[in-house]
Order: sequence, then C-alpha cells, then structure tokens
Amino acid sequence: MISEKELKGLKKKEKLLKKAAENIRVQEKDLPRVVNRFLNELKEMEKKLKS
Amino acid sequence: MLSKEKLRSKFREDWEKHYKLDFLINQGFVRKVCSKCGKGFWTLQTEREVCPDQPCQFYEFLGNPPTKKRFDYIQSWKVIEDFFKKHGHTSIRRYPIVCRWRPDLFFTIASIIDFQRLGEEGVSFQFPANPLIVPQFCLRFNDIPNVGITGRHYSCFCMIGQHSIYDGKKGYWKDRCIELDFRLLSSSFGIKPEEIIFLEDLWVGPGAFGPSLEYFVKGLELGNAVFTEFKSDNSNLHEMKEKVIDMGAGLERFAWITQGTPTSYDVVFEPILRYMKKQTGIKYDSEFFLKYSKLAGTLNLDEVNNIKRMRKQIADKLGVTVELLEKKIKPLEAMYAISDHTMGLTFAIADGLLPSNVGGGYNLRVILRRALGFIDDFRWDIDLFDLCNLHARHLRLICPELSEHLDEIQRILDIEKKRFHETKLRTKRIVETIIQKGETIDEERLINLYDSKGITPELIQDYVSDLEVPDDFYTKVTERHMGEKRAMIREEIDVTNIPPTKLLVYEDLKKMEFQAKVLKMINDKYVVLDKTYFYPEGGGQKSDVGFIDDAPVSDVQKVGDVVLHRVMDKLEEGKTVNCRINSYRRDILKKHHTGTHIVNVAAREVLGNHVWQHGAEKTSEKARLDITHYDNLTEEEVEKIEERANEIVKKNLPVKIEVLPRGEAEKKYGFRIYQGGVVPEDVLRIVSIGNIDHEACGGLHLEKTGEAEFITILKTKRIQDGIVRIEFSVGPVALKYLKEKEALLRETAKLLKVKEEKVPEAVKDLFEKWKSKRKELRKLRRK
Repeated sequence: MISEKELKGLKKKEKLLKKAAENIRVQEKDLPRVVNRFLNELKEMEKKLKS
Repeated sequence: MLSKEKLRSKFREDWEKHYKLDFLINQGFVRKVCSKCGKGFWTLQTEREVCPDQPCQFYEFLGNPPTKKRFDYIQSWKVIEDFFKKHGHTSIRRYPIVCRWRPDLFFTIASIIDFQRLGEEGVSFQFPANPLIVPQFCLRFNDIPNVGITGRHYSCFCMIGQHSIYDGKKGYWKDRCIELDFRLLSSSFGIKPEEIIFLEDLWVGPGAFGPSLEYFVKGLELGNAVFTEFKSDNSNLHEMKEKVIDMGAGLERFAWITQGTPTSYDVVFEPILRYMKKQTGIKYDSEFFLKYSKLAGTLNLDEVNNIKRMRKQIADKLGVTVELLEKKIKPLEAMYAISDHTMGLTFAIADGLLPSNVGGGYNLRVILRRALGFIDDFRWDIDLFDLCNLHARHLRLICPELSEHLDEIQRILDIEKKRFHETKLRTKRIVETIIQKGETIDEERLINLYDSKGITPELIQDYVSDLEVPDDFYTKVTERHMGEKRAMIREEIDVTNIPPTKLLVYEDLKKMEFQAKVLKMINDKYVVLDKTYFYPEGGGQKSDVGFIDDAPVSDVQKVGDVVLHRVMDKLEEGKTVNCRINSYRRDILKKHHTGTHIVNVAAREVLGNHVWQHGAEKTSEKARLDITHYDNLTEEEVEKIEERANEIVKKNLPVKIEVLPRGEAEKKYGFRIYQGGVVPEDVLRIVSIGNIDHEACGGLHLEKTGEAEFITILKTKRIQDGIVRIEFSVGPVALKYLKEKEALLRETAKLLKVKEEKVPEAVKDLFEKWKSKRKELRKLRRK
C-alpha cells in the first residue's frame, strides 16, 4: 500500500507533467522525446547562427 | 391481432358484459347510443341523444361552471386526495417524470407507467399500495403544437392516478371504481349527478387491454377509468388473474371545470401568468377571449391540420379580421405555452435530465427553445428561471422536492440560454448561405436545420418572412427521437437445447479454481460447462479470463441461462476439465467496479443532482464512467471529484449486497438504483456503499471501499451534448500510471537539467527559445 505522503508527491508530479505538456501542446508520453528534439534542434540552430 | 377499431366493435356488441354496471343501473343511469357518432354512453338524462364528447358536444362550462365552489389547482388535488384517502386509498408521492425504470420510455406519460415493469415475461404491475392514489406529473411531446392554443393541451400535466389491483379478494373492480369517481364528482365537487356522463371506450397498452369508461361533465372529459383485464393477444380475450383499475384524470381539468375560465391554463398557471402579465404589461379583453375560447376549445391541430384556416373560421364567427384576432390572442397563447414548457423543464431538470441533442434531452431542448423563441419574438423581459422558481413555489404542497433543485435548474437554464443565443447568431450566416445558393427551405430542410444545428423555424422566420412552417413541426422533430431508447442487442448465438449453466460466481467470490464438465463446444470456439465460477461480462464489467485445462479463456458471455467461455483450443465434450480464473485481473475489475460507484457518487455530490450514470466500462487497464452533465469539467471540479472519491475510499465503508424484489428495492432506495439503466429482472441485486449509494448492479465488488486503495482520475472529456466521460484507475493500476508519469517528468527534468518543479517553466522557455532561434534563422536565410 502506498503512503499518503508518497501519493501526494506522485499526484504533484503528475500535475507538473501535465502542465509542462500543455505548455507546448504535446501528449504527456511524448514530452521527453519532443524536449529532446527541441534541445538538439536548438543546438544546431545556434551552431548555424554562429557560423 | 385485432385492430383497436375491431376490438371496439367487439366490446360494443357485448356491452352488457363490459360496460353494464350494477352501480350505474341502481343510480338510474341508462345506456344510450349517440345519434351522431354511434358511441355508447351512460346518462341520467333520459332524453339525451348525443354523447358528451367533441365534436358531438361543445364545452358548456366556460363562464358557467357546474360547481358552486371554485377550487384552484392545488385545492383540487387536496379535495381529490382527501376523498380517496377517506375511502381506503393510500396517497403516494409522485414518481419521477424521467422514466428510468422502463427501457422503452424517456418520460412518464401516464400514472400507470409508475407501476408497470417490462420484464422478460412481458408487462407486470407492481403497486406499492392497494388501492392507491397518486398525483403523477407527466411529460408528453406529441401535443406540442396544440399547447397554448386549444386551452386544454399540455406537454406537462398532472395525471391523478386511481389504481387498484383486483384478484377477486383484494382491491376493487369496475363497480367500486365508477362509484368512487361518481361520488367524488357529485359529493366532493358538488356536480349535479345528471351532469355526469360515462362514455364507453377501450384502451390497448403493451401486453394488456380492456374496456374503459370516460367520464364527462358539460362536454369536458375529466377522467378515464380503464379496466385492464385482458392480456397479450387481443384476438382472444384472455382474462388476467390480477386485473387492474387504471383510472387517470387530469388535475388541470378538475380545477378548470370548477372555475369555468376561458382556458385551463388560466387556472393551472395562475401565479405564473399573473407574473408574466405584470412583467410584459399585456392586458387582455376577457370577454372577447371567452368567446374565442369557446370556439378554440374545438381546435386540435392533429385534426384540423391548418391553424390559419381554422383561425379564419373563428375570426369570421367573431366578426373580426384574422389580423386583429391574432394580435389579441397570440401573446396570450405564447404565455400559456411558456408556462407549460417551464413547468416541464422544472420537473425534468429536477428529476435529473439535461437538455441536449440526443434522446429525452432532445425533447427537453425543443420546449426550452420554443419558450425562449416566444420570449424573443415578443421582446419580453422574462427570465425562464424566474418562472421555474414560481412553479416550484406554486406546487410546493404537492411536490416540495422541486425547490431543492432550483440552483441546478438556474445553472442549466443559464447555459442553455447562452447556447440558444449563440445559435441565433449562427442562424443569420447559415440562412444567408442557403439563400445565396438559391436553395429552398422545405420541411425536410427545416427539420435537418433543427436536428443538426439547433436552429428553430422561428429563428429562420426572422430572415425568411414567407417561410412555410408545418403546424406539427415540433411533433415531427420530437417523434424522431422517441425511438432512440433501445435495449442493447447482443450477438446472437443459438443456445437452444443446451442445458443451463450453474453460475456459481456469486456463491463463492473467492473460488478461483474448480473442476467442471464440458457439455458442449459451439462453433469450435465457445465452451459450455455444467457449472462455472467465471464472471461473464455484464453491467459494463469485462469478463474474467483464465484457463480451462491448457486452453486460455479470453472472454465469457451469458446468453439466456447458458454461459459461453471463449477458448483458443477445442475441448472434448463430456470431459472433466480443470478451470483457473486469473485472480489478479478479477481483483482489478472489482476495484474498478466499486471505484465506478464511488466516482459516480463523488461526481453527483460535487456537480449536483442532475448527475446520473449514462454508461460505464470496467476493464483491467482503467475504468470509464459517462455521466450526465451540461459542460466540460473544470480542473477544479475534477480535483474535487477525485478528492471526494478518495475520502470515500479512506472511510473504508462497507459494500453491501442485497437481493430484493424490484418493488421493495424501489421503495427502499428510490429510482437512483437505476444508474446503469433498466434491469429487466423482477428481483434486483442492490449494491450499497455505506448509506451514500445504492445501485441495482450485477457486477463484482470489493467488500470495503478501503480495498480500492486510492483512485486517480486520468482524464475527462465531453463526449457528446450533455455527457461527460471520466476515465480513472484504482489501486495498483493507478499507481502504475502515476509511476509512469513520474518517470516521464524525471526524464524531462534530466534532459532540461532542472529540478522537477521547474519542468513546466523550463519547457515553456525552451519552446520560446526554439521559436525565436527558428525565426532568426529564417530571417537570415531570406537575406
């Protein structure tokens, strides 16, 4: 059985994930993948801009 | 099957058997045959030649009531109730106007519907007392065009039900029924006996029929005493063991006849009309209106088909132009219709139905938009909710419960008003497009525009002044939706000649392994055992899975009394097999099922009493509950529902199972038990969570709410007009879901190199940065 404290913590994290996904309008399950893509693309764009 | 007409002649030929009553003979009534229509009737007026029904006789009580005393709507009920109570009847509270106990009806359309149950064996009657009297408010949508116009038609009305079941010992039969009705009119209302006339007729209902005597006074039918004594096939008269007195009388008409006002609406809606007249400043020429009403009383749009032609005839008789006639009467007709429609809305919303574009909610929206249309047309400063409030106050002695639902009524009406005005704004654009394309707006197009876009003909008339609207438009659109309530149809598998399976799951919920004998293999994929502890799919709960010997069982269904186990491998008939149920899945399904009841209560407590379960499904991955609600759920509402659901879990309330006869279950727990729809059995299995929820349910449940551990709402969505879906999971499944979310958050935080709390903000920043760099790069490329 999960403790109340642990449950509260998990619920809080669920909410944070939801909010983050909503911020860029993607599904929660896709968030890490999309963030990773943005980070890579950002790096590349910065490189291109510098050159 | 004999037609109603043939049955009528059969009864007429044998009138002595069906209509001749000792009581009538002893009182000096004589049987006559109407010289105009040929119907038989019973009267004390020995010289009388015509029957009391229209068109053979017109109203004679307008301005000339047959009683010395005047009774208003509420007083009339009190007189009737007192009379019947004095004569051994139990007065019972009304049943809901939203008919949740019948699979074929959205609304209660007559008092007898309260007590009729449709089961596998056909119709049965369940009376909570015998004899009884009930003020049953009803909703019918087939008379909408007549409402407000004829002075006597309603969509919402109160049927006084006088009912008794008679088996030769208990209850009473024809003589006593007619004696009571006669004495009620003559003694309690003081109507002269010679004014009371009984007209012979008959009634044919689902699975039962019988002769009837309608009683009239001065041309007004006050009640209809139906003697339901024959069953099923009406080509032969098979007498029922228990016969039923089904006397239904219009409370509106009792009050009306004592007042003799131009219309019955003047009596029934007196406080509502008084308020509307004050608000609008409308005054009416009472003398002119009385003259008009005497003629309008003969109007029935089903029969006359063309209201304009009828108005012309009435105008000619009154010596005025049609324009003047309409100018005088149309505002009043609108007020009458609004009064009726708001009464219907008050009852239906209080009883948990929402206006929508499907099922019974569709019909409710029709009357709501019709009422709003009238208000807009006349530019009146009237708010529908104020009228609902007045109805609740006016009816508080008969239906005190209406006042408890005013908050919900107001909220729902506000939303509907907003939607109506949005539709109005859209109408202009849509109609202009149709005109530009040179298309015509015929009847089919009108119905389609209403059906698909909620645009009423009245709204279109603002842009197309010569639009032809059929008088029965609203009847047609509502009829289209009356057939939607249908029972679920299963795939048919022939189980004839297969012995019933002993279904033992309810007897031992913990039995997960057992031995059984293979009785039959059907189509090489369904196994029938002599007995089973597998739970077959039902009540929205998926079936158990497991193994029969080495063959995996993927589904279990019940067809009639036979349980079919779907297997991958063929099994030998006659062989004894070892069966194993997947106990983990069973446990999860139980958690999800009890969780569904808990979330349903929580949603009702948070959102309001209009919340009913519309549908549900419990799988091992998640549960979904569809509830009736008028809007999307806000984040705050979802949180509150989840919080309340978890409070119920934490309280560790007992989940109690009771098996009760249907009537007893309804009496003990009310109609809220029908959350999952109608159950056709006569004996119901009631699942109670503490004392906060009681539902008729055949599913498997936890023993205590605490076993659910906790509930997490996964998502909510408005899936159709008036229906919101809540998806959730319980216990270990919910924990798995939350752990997955936690992992996703952790992964994202790691990628962004921030703390988890900062992820939403960091994601947003990243996105902004990404957009800005992309823009910069594009700009650079353009140079």
